[in-house]
Amino acid sequence: MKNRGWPNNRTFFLLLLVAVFAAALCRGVQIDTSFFSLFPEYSDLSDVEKKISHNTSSSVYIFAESSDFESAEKGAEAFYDAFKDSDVFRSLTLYQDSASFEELKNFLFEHRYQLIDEETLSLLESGKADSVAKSALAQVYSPFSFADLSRLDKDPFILTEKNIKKYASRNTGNMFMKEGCLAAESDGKWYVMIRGAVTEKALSFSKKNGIGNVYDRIKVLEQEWPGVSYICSGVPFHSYESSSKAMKEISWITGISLALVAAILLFAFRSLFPMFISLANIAVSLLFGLSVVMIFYGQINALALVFGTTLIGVSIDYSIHYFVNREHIFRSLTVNCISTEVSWSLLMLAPFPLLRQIALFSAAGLLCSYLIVRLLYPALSLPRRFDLHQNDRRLPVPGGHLVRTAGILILAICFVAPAVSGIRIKNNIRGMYTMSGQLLEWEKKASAVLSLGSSGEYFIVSGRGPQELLAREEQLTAALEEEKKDGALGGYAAITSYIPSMARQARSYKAAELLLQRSQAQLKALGFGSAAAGQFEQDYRNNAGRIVTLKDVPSFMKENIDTLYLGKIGDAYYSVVFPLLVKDSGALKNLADGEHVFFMSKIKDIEKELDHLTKIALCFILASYLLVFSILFAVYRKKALKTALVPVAVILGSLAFVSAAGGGVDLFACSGIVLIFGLGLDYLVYGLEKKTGKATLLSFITTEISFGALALSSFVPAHVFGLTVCVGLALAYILSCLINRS
Amino acid sequence: MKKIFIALIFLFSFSCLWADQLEDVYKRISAHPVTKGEFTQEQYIKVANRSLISRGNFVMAADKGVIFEIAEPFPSSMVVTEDKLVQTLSGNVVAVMDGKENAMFKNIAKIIHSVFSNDVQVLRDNFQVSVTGGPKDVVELVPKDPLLSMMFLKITLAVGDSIDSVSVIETGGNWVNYNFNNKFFPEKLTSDEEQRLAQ
Repeated sequence: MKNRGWPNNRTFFLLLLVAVFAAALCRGVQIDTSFFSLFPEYSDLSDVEKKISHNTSSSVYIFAESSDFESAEKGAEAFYDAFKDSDVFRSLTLYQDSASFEELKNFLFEHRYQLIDEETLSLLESGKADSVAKSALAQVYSPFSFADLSRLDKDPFILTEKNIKKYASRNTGNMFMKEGCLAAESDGKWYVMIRGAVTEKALSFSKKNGIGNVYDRIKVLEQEWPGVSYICSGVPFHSYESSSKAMKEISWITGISLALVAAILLFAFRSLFPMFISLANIAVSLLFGLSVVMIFYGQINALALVFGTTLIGVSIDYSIHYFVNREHIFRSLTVNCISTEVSWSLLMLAPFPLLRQIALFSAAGLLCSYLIVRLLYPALSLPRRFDLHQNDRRLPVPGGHLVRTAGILILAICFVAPAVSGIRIKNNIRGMYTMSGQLLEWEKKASAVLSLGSSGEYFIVSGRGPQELLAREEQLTAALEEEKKDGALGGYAAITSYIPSMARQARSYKAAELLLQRSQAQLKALGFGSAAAGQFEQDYRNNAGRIVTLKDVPSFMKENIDTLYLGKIGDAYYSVVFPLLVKDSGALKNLADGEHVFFMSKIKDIEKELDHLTKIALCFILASYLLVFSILFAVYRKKALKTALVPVAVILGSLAFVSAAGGGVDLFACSGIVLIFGLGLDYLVYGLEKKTGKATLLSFITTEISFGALALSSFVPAHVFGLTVCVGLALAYILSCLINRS
Repeated sequence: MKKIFIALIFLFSFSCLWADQLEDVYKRISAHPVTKGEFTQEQYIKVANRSLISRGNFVMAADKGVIFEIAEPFPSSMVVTEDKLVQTLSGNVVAVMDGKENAMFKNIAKIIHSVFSNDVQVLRDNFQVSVTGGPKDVVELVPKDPLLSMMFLKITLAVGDSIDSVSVIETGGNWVNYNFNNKFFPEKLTSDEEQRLAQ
């Protein structure tokens, strides 16, 4: 026997298995629970996008809610006490230290000449120093102006005071300081906010997951503090929810698939041996797929594992065909393995990390399953040949004429159906992830309480150096101010609101020189002697050349600044500007030049990119059709031509079904069609090899079980993918049978 | 222990008493829907070791807010309503704390507004309150919130038939005294005043 004469290959394969498993073990098995892995890399700024995602992916807001402030505060305090020293959060803030306010005042006083507010600067630059002086005097002499007058001799134009209000009130939304906490009152309820950033460890998938601990603790606290309830908001909660759901689904999809496959094998072969061997093959293939992903990516997304469960139904086919046909099936198996691997390889080209992992997992697992059958099965001492034709009664088959008519009819329907249903390419990013009732409710409440008005749209600004970046951002924020006046947005968050560019600071300092002429009169009006004016001028001169940098910013502002300033990525420096309360995103989009200032409308951009990818995937299908049929023609010659129309009909029929059922063909449906093409070819090849019949039926059933189970997933892309493959393969199988029988 | 217990009982009794007295005081203030008169502001600035004095007229509408028209030394005006503090100079707004823009400003405006209006609950929520009777009731308000304490340490009101004076002790040794004189009590606001307090 030829195959028994391959000890070298067999040994090499076993060594490869050991090496891959060992390498994966060395790297360690890590499950990626990141919510952002759901989304494709969709722009040239993917590294910048990753940094923005990283900055926001660990931030959480937790609100203690109660009908009175005291209870809400106590509830927040209890949560804070429970987690302030834990390894779940790398930062957790409940109380705003009053020293922070003092720190802010000192910072703004120290840099008062460099940080003059826009309104005062505009007055000074237009020569209206008098207006600035009068406004300051009016504030000093006004009742309840609450201007800080403790440094009036050094700051008689109260430049510091104007900035304090601007800085202290920035991006606080509905929240305000109450008894040391950030609180809000909404719809008769009080909310006290705790801000935090979770640790990497807390996000890792394990029984002791940090977010899981938060949920458990909240349940206990709600019992200990009747009347207090908690609201959790932030990406880590979504990551936890999607990964937890994914892990549960992996368990039951794998369980159902394995149980049904095992039962069918037992029923078909009337022997435990093929069942055990097949299940062992599946187990090794799954582990191999997992190991290869670990080696290449270092981690695997939980959702990729959900998709990976389909490997059970696909890889079992090789075992079934081997047990029935033994070595006679090897040529078909090889052709089928190549066609399916081509399909998965095409998906590996997609700029979508999740899809690439699914493809690599499945391709590697399938290859392993094929190699086990090809190299190891022949070495086993199989008790006998499992002949399904002898074990089972033949089903009555209709005559050739009828079969031909049915085949032509189904082919015709498949070709006509797309024209009837219409094929529309439509990706819906919001539909990819559905929040659970509670998390959705929490997010709605958190959004209403915070009321920051962030829209998911933002600008990315770049520069060759930090100063060029800041200068460009200032040009953008000036344009945003104009749009704000026109009502296109309510505000924005930008790094230059905290730290202006050096040019702006120098402009500010220069403009302040005009105040020197007014200082003597101003200080006299405030009751200071003539010496004070000399001191004032001296102070001003001493400030010459001073520049405010990121390092000077008060510590409590650093969290905001870290979100806005991305620093050096690659060869350039980047920052992000978040427009708030956006009413006209079209107007904002026009402010981007696409060279240094980019407008990112994440959801719309991703959907557009997914639509583009879907079209590319359809082109890939056409390319793979031509490629695979060239291979088939080379192997089977004229016989291959007979079946050429079947894959086209299956693809068109599947596209029509997806369009009619889901309203549009998305990337996951398209990926399913790529796979239908690869797997559906198997049935044709077995037909060409005259190996149709019970073995093919059995492999069809097991594959349908796997993808059928995936179609039951609550994760929308998995459901779409599973359902598309299920329907497409059924069509491929029926057409293959009809073509072969006719 | 017994002494502490008795002291606590006394303290509790006094706090209940202060609570009742506070309501009495503010009922008296709000008995006049509108109070008008002249005011003098004396602002002591420690760093200059002198006081800055300003004078003008005021309009207090118990439920709507207060208008301060500063006549000298530098004419300007300050309008305090439940959700904003607006300062104008020659008709131009020079400083504003608008609650519509920011919840923190809204809270500050609400608290300052409550000092002049019959919103006792807001006062109790934000201040430790004590009331001392005498020829005039003296209401002492000490902010509970550390952020408010950064702005002022204590507000003291002297109240007869209406608010006679307000004293604000600020951080850094500064203080402000407001004296309200030549008061009269019209039935209602003029349409211009209504408009200014409604804006």
